[in-house]
Amino acid sequence: MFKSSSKNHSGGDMRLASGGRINRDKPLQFTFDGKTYGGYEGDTLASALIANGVHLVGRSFKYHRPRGIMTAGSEEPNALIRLGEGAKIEPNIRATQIELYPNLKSESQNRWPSLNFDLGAVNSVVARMLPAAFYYKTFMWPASMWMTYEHFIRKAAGLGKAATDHNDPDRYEKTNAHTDVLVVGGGASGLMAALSAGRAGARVILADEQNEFGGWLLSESDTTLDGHAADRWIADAVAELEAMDNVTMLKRTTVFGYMDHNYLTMMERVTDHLGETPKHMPRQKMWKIRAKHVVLAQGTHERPLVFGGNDRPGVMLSSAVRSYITRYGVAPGRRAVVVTNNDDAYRTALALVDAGVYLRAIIDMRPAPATPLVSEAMRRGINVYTSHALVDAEGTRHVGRAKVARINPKDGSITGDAFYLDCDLVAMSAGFTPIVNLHSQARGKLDWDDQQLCFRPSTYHEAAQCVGASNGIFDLGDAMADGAKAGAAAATAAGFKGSDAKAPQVDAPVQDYRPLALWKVVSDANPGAGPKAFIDFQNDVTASDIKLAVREGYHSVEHVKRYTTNGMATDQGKTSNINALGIIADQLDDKIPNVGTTTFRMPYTPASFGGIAGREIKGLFDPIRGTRMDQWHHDHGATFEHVGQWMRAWYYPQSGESMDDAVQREVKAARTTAGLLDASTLGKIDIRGKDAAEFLNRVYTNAWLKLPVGRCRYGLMLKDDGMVMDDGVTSRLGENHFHMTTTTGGAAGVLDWLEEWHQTEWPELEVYMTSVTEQWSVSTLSGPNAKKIMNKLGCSVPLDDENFPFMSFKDATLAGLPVRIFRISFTGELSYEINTPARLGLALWKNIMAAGEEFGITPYGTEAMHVLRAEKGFIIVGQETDGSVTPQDLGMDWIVSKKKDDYIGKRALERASMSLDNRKQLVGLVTENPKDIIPEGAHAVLDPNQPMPMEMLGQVTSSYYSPNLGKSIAMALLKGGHKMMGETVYFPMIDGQPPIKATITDTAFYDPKGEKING
Amino acid sequence: MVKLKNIPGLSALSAAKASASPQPDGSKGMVVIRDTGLLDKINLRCQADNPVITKAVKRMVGTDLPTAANTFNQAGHRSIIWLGPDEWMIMAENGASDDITAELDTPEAGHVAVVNISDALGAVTIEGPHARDVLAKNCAIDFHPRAFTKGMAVQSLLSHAGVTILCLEDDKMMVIGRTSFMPYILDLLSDSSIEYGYDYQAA
Amino acid sequence: MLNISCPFCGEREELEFTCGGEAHIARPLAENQITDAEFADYLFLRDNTKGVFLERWRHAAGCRRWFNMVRDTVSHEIIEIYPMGELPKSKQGKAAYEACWRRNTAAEAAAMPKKSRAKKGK
Ligand SMILES: [Zn+2]
Repeated sequence: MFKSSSKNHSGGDMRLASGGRINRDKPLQFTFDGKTYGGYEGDTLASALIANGVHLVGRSFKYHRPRGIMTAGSEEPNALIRLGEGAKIEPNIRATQIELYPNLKSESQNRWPSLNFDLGAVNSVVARMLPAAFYYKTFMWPASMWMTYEHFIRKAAGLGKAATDHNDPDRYEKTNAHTDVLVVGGGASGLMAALSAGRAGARVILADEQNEFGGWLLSESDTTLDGHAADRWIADAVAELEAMDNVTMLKRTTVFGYMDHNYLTMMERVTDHLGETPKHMPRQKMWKIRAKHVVLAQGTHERPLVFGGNDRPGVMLSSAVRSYITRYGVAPGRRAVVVTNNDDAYRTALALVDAGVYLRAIIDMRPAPATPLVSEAMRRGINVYTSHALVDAEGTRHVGRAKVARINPKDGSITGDAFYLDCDLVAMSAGFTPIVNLHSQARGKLDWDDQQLCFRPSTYHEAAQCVGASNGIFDLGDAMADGAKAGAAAATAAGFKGSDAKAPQVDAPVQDYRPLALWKVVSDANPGAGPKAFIDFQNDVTASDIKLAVREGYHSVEHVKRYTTNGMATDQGKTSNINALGIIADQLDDKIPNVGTTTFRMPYTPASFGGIAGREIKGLFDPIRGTRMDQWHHDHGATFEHVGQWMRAWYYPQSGESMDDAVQREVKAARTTAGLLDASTLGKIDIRGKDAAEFLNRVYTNAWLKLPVGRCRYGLMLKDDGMVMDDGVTSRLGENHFHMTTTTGGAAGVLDWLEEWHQTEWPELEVYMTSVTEQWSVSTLSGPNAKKIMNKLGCSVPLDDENFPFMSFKDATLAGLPVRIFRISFTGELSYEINTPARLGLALWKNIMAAGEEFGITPYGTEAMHVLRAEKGFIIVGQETDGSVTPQDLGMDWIVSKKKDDYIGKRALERASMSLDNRKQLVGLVTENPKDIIPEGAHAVLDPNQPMPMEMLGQVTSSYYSPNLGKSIAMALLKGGHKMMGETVYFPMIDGQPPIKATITDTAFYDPKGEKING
Repeated sequence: MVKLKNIPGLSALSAAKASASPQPDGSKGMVVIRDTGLLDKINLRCQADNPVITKAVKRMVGTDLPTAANTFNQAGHRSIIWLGPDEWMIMAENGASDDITAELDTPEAGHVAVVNISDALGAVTIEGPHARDVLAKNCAIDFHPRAFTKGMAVQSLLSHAGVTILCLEDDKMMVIGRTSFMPYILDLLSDSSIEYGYDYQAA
Repeated sequence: MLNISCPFCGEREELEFTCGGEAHIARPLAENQITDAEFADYLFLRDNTKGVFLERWRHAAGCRRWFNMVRDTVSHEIIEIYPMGELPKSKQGKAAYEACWRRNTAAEAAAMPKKSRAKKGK
């Protein structure tokens, strides 16, 4: 019974004096649109608002019509709420799924300036101008105006607004899980499935989107199990399951995606219900599940009836009304009308009467229902109007009266005068739709059930089984047995010995589960006029819109859906799907199964981006790799650059130096005294086996069989299309043993490449490859004073050119540390690439720096390295090449063997198109004004005054100011470039500057004869 | 040959300082993460039935060459991990790799590759009743106690890093990763442990 | 997301694997002369089959080994997994292999040594 007797529906205390699963010892305060209200622990925001007499909670998407709470679950299309404050704001949350917590702050959406007075509602007045596809039709042309239209459309419509502060302070996590059986839905049949599978010993995950297990059983007061109230059986079942080690019970967890091979995703709302998220806890956790078998026990969604004003606040689904009374102890109204085409709403009618609500009447569209529930209603003295329909739910911001008329149940035509019933609550039911969203996501098929008027699962694409109501089995006892059977079968399929858990003795009202098939809107108005009867509440699609679409020639349900946007809102048509199909079928004079059904996509309910991202944000977004010398680089002021996942020291600015200053200084030092580069990131591959040399012969373009032990050779690798893919120096450690180096960025790719060719093309070759990239730290000492520094460090091997010539290596000790020294050079200066086991990398680096101090040794970064090699005209794969460049294009014919039978890319290089004169070829460029630096990527033209579009010759790949040459240098890939030596080209600039004039040259700008290589 | 024996040096995580996050009320127990410090590792490629290698492994590691997928064999401080049909990794105490390599890498062994990768990889152990939960947050391998049991070793991804994960004890795992990924791996593991509380102990 | 059974490591998530595209594209041997157009069949042309398709996969984050797979690109059913260098044994796999246009190309014929081709010719 009500605690107060106020007759005012818009306000007042609607809480029932007793009952419900709320904790009346824990009152809570919350705000909605700035006003403070009271509720209880165990309430949802929806039930608490209803308890305070608040039904109007939002405005609709298109017409800005007042909307109320229609459901009690995740199918809610209307009551979308903006929750929280500041950075924690979350829009579009269903009030029916928000658990009340202390000081919860919520706001209505889609209204301006206020919920009660909304300017956008003028759309409702001019609704005749806003039929289906209005936006598409009106704003299509001219295209240039679309941006303008869109601005206003977005402002006027759209769902809630996201937070403007983008620093969500909460944690979100992800986790993976494997299970034998995943049970989706913890209602009666889901619990039975979990019990069967769990008792068999299978690993079970039971996920339910609500705050407690039990599903619709929690909302039924007229049902007993084994002679007790249903909650006692639920408590026992939950306790048994929770005690099992092999069962994981997840409340507040929505399975929202069902992908191939039984891969499912679900979002657990870990702390949403607390309001405040403890610092160490995630707010939400996304689970990624691989299940051997899936049991879908998702229950049903009740369908709204389609009548005028069926969207008005105070019009609710019948089962939701029952749920608010039984589960939340709150009455959604004081004077109710129940309107139905089936038996189930009679249970709501009885619950309303039991709760003390004045039930005006049951309006039953069926002609002569004679079921026990109907008899019971009549016995209780309830007015039952059979062969009647609700024509219009009238009112402004709340339903005030129901317009009722006698109909012909066959065609929905009105056969008698309408009369009115004052009411503030309409409970409607058009029958039940099994929830097959996940089944459908998993490509399961459906069959039409002509008796129960719903689609039921038929065949399965994955190892899955729908059970209970979601399998179209509406009788509670049968549904529980169905769940038990599926749970046992799933466990058996997963290799356990499953047997059906025994279903309890169910005592519930006997029900006829066959609703009346009447999809036509009952209306006494002229076609196209009259009150709006909604199908899709969230996208504001009316029955007239659907009819219009069919009349305009859209007969496929997929087309009607896209034309009207029916079912395309965030609720994916949970309440609208079947009603739309019914109306389309009526219009086409066809049957629903022939019209077909649309495909449900993930997510079942919207999932937060926070949960999907998890902790893969900020520092954990992508690994950052560093070398063993990084700390030193940091300590010495280095600036770093990304090279793939590596962060490499870029340059080391001294106080007051710009990047240019620093790079110029470093480049000069490496040529005039000594520079030291951290080259540890270069890829390194150990290659072993009697066919190692032969293998290299096949993967490189040049010859490898005769490379002496102890010597190094530069190699170029091509893809089989003849294009350059990587380069590096490879050294022969032993007869059957090589040490290959690759580019930093190419390291992983080259090893994969070698493995692919070995495993898939030449498995007969005896060769093994092992990555040793990180086994070695590499300090590259370069410059005329390099040898002096090596000697000062007590290098254990003689360094003279005869004993230790260019392109050879030695194992030695340096500063007492074990090292492998490669005499190779990427600068053109005398260079030593000193490798040491990585644990000693930092120690070696420090030793070299200390020994070099008296010579002015200068650490140089990757930018100086780039300039130094460009001065020599050395290419960088990925800078001078882009996957379309051959060795010949690079002017590197010298490295391509003419004698070898085969190597990767050989045949492709022989293709006719490879020797065309107009291929882009690598050339050097020297600018007329030595201070002009051509931007990398700039395009060359012969005549800068030609009309646009200009004929472009190619582009600059590298460009720097060379301090050692005192002028600007560049490399470029130009069409036919090799035959254009000495010619002038121009580089038009985009910023109105005059074109840069340059002369084509050879690429070896500095020391072209290589005289500096020995110091 | 560049030898490793008796040389000091820095482990992959030598720059990572000890850190911790308190254990919340009601948690089953802290997650303890430890840097294993310098630990020698040898990559071994050969046919599984190579008689010279099987004997040498028995001699130097003290166990058989594991031939079952996703397993490792352990004897004292040394262990050998299955990585593929013709690939293994030997782990041993710091400084042991030179001697083990010398025994395995002989002309008699035929077609083999024995490569010292001691410094290419780092490792941490992760211990506690929530160790499996922490790993599951970052890796899609089935870490349920029924599926991932003592003596198992899997190569997989820990978020974006390639790793090998060993089940040392029911509630103690080892995560081996490339040296340059170890700071990231440590960040992942400790971040995922905040829910339970953790203690990271440097070597 | 596929659940793939690596022939060496067992069932793993798809994210541990990389797909290497169409399987059984034999590389012409250098000793056999073919025209540029014939070579293009090997180098450039790849099938994009709707239905049963033979693919190469690699357990990139695991044992790094390559293997072949017969997969239905519509249902995503993995019909067969078999080693590199072998042909499919399943009925669907065999049929897909035989039906492939590549079987009749000069590029594929050129992948066999001259000697054995001579033998086969007889
Ligand atoms: Zn594998």
